[in-house]
Amino acid sequence: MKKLLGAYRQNGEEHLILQENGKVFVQEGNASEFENSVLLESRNEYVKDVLSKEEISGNDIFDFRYGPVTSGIGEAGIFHLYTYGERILSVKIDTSYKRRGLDERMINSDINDALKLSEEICGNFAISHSTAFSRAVENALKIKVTRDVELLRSIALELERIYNHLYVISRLAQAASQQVLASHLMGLFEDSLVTNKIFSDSRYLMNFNAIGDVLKIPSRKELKDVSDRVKKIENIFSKLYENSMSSGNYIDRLHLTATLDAKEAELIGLTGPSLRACGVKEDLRAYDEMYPEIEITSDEEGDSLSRMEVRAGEIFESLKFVRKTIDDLNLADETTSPNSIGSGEGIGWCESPSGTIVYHVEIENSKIKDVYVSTPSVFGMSAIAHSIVGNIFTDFPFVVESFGVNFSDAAR
Amino acid sequence: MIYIYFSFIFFALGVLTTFYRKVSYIMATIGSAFPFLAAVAGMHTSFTSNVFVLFNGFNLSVGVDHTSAIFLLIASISWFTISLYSIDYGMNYSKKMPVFFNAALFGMFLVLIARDALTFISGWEIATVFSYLLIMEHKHSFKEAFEFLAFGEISTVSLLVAFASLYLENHSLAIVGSHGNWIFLLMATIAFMAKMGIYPLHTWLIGAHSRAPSNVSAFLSAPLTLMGVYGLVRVLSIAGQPEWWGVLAMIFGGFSAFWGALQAAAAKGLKILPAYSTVENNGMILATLGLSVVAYSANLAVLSSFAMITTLILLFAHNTTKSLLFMAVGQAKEALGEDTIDNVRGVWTAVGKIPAISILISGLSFSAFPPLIGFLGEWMTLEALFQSYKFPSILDRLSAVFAGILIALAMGLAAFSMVKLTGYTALGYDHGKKARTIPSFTMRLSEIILSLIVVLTGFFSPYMLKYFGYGTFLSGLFGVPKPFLIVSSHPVFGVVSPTFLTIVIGTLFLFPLAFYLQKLRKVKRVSAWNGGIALKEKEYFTAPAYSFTLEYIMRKVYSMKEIKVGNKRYVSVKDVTTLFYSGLKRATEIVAKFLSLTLMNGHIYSYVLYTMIMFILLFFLIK
Repeated sequence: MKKLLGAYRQNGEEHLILQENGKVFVQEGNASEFENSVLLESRNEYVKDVLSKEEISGNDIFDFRYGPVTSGIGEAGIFHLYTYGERILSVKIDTSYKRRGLDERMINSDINDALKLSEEICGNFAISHSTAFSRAVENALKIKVTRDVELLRSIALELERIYNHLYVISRLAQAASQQVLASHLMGLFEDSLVTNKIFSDSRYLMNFNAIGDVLKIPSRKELKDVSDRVKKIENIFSKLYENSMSSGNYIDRLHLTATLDAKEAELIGLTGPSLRACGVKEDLRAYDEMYPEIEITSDEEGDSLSRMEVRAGEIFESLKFVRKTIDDLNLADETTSPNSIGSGEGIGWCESPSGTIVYHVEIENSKIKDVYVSTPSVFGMSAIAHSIVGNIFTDFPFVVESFGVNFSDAAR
Repeated sequence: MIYIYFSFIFFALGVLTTFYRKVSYIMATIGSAFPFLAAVAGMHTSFTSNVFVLFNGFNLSVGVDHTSAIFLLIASISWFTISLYSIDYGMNYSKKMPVFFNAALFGMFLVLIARDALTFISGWEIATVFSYLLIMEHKHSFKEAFEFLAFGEISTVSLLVAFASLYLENHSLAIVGSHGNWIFLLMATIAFMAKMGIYPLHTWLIGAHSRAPSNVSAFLSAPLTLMGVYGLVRVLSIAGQPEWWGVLAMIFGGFSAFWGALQAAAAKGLKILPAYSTVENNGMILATLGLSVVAYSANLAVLSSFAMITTLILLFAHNTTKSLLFMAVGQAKEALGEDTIDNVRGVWTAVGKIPAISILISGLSFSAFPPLIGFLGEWMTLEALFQSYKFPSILDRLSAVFAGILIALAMGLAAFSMVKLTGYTALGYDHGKKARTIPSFTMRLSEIILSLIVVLTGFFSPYMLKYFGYGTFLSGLFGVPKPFLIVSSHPVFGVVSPTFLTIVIGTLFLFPLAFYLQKLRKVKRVSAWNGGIALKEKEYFTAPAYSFTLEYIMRKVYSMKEIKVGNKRYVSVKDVTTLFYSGLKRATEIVAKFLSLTLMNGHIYSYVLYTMIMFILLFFLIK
């Protein structure tokens, strides 16, 4: 099923960024034919449930505003929960507080400056954004990227996936008052940030990517250190995860909370682990030659528990990938010096920890003429707004955390 | 007797001056002061009027003894303050209203001073009929008024049967010094329970209290239901104090308290919540009266006596506090023109500080906040129930435990509902709605008087116990001088001193108060905010949302349904007891329709047959 991820106008024609069967492509068309097209228009201001057309009303209904500065929400943003008390009837998510206009600021800037801006869109998806942006520019300028660079980027992407998924699972454990599990997971989260630092000189993998290249080639010793640390994380996480899955208190809070079926998820435009938790085995990495042995993790129930299980499965898969890739890595002594001068148009994407990130760029004399950024959090937030309806306030953190969305990612 | 006659005169003047509403209500106020004086006079020395012999065995007289003096004293406080309140409040209603008001006061007064069943039932019926007319003063309240009348007449008919039984037993209708059998006690109990609004005879009370003008709501909720308690105390003195009655009273009382509190917690209507609170309070009153009777039948004189004074303190607390609550919310309702808790937010700023403080004081009293009188009533209730282990019978003990559990739950739920009422109305954020300017001097005056009574009678409660003739429960211990310590038994079981509790807490509170006052000038006041920005009107947590969690947890009991109609969403909560009456009404309609189509279908022979059958049935029934 085609999913609309974005739309931009070029020469008076509407171009749609679509994803189908793990492939991202652009084609001319009419965005309004897709259920989720309204999200593309409103995403700088708010995100809502695109599958529900009716405006809920009633004398006793009020707007339980959660945010913009509230404990429990890590970023500035508002969840407008419409309720008559405890039962959530409808949700509107205000993203405007986090709207910085980074994509607009990319226009007319140098591609290297724009690369830095892409990292700033969402700090914890820094490598995903910079990789997708770099790929778009590389496609536009027809820059050939070496296999070593692609492999190093893939390791960085998987390191990012590991720490993001650890964080999400830790937040879910915290919400269920599983403090011991949460603390251990936060410990692993810290370990994974330290691993990132060794690999890239940045805890959040920033300033690692360059157009057609990477800015740091880790030494053999560093790669060995990364591999050992990843092995340690794997050992600890597998025990923690096994124990957590035997805790009825924890599982009960997640099971059947905010359930989404595959059709709804695809109509919303959901990608990433949240889509795979609905039984759709779609992952952009499966079509990436850097991932020859990737096993796509998925689940059937589409609830918060499934989303957590898919993320846990992906942690194991990413840990395995990082170790194997480092073991097999045989870096060439020479690196290419890509020519990043020129003009062109290109699209680049990558599978971020929460779904597909797509950049479409138009470059003119090494400056960005136009850019369109599609982020997974927009669709993730709409999925939250849809699946949370009928749940109660106490389910709220389980729903929100399980989708792993970010206001900064949605609002840019 | 002179006070009684003066009272009659002023009530009559009140009726005659009805076209001058203020004058008429002033007459009612003065007329209500004399029963108070009569009560004070009769508290220690009984007095009666001359006997008027209607015909043999039907001797009419009025008077005041110790029992009626206590009830008269309590009722007259409400009558006086409600009448005073009505001087301004009554201007919002018709010129007929003062006639009904004075007549209803007269009827209730007659009930409390009646020495015979005929006078009693006359007063009873006068109070019922004129209360019905008072409810009708509110537009579109016919259904509720009719329901009140229907239950009122059930009460009257039950009472007639009871008194007929009394006459057959004694060949006299005297209600002092007579003897009554179990039929008398049972029928009279049904009659009085209906008037008190005890479950399942409470449904009339909710509609009537919430629809009636607020002075009438106060009138119906406090003094009129007090008549029921008085009636029970009277008939128990006539029929002895059988154990079975006590057990039933504890069970019905306990359940009624729980049910009333449960429904109050879910109430959305500004006056529905206090109405259900009346069901709860009267339930507690009935339960403690039952406990007193069981203790009496088990020869536990001290416990019986303690339970009886508990009943009286609860009655006093309910009468004064509920009058205050209805008057204060009534003023807010009238000024803002709204009748839901949610829409009467911000009484403090929108309507005035006096009604807001009055709502707060009454809410705190119903939540058993020391030293208010409601605190003492609830403490005594629990103390009395805790002593039920002394009952020799296992049935009695189990009944008391059952009642105790329900009452304890009721107390918790009452605090929950009072937080809702006071939190949203008196202390809630003003939603910016302009209050209508209405003359309110006497309204505020009566609220101040009752507020002071609620506070001061709590603080000086030992003197009240002594005045009511229960000085044996006063003592001194642990540095608390006699008579400021209230004990629940001899030998001592539990003690409390509202007076010294207040002094100690008050003294401890003085330091933070002084600190607060010192810092007051430096306090910067800003708009309430949530999440970094000011709350908008549609973002305030609503009163129904406050109780939704409870409604959801107890959804089977509440018959709670979350309704979806189009894009509308709302929560429906029902008092399931009303379903029984709805079913009864429907069944009656079906039977009536069947009879009208079959027996009364225009065929003369079948109609004559129907008439004869009914005549024969009635003949045997009356015989």
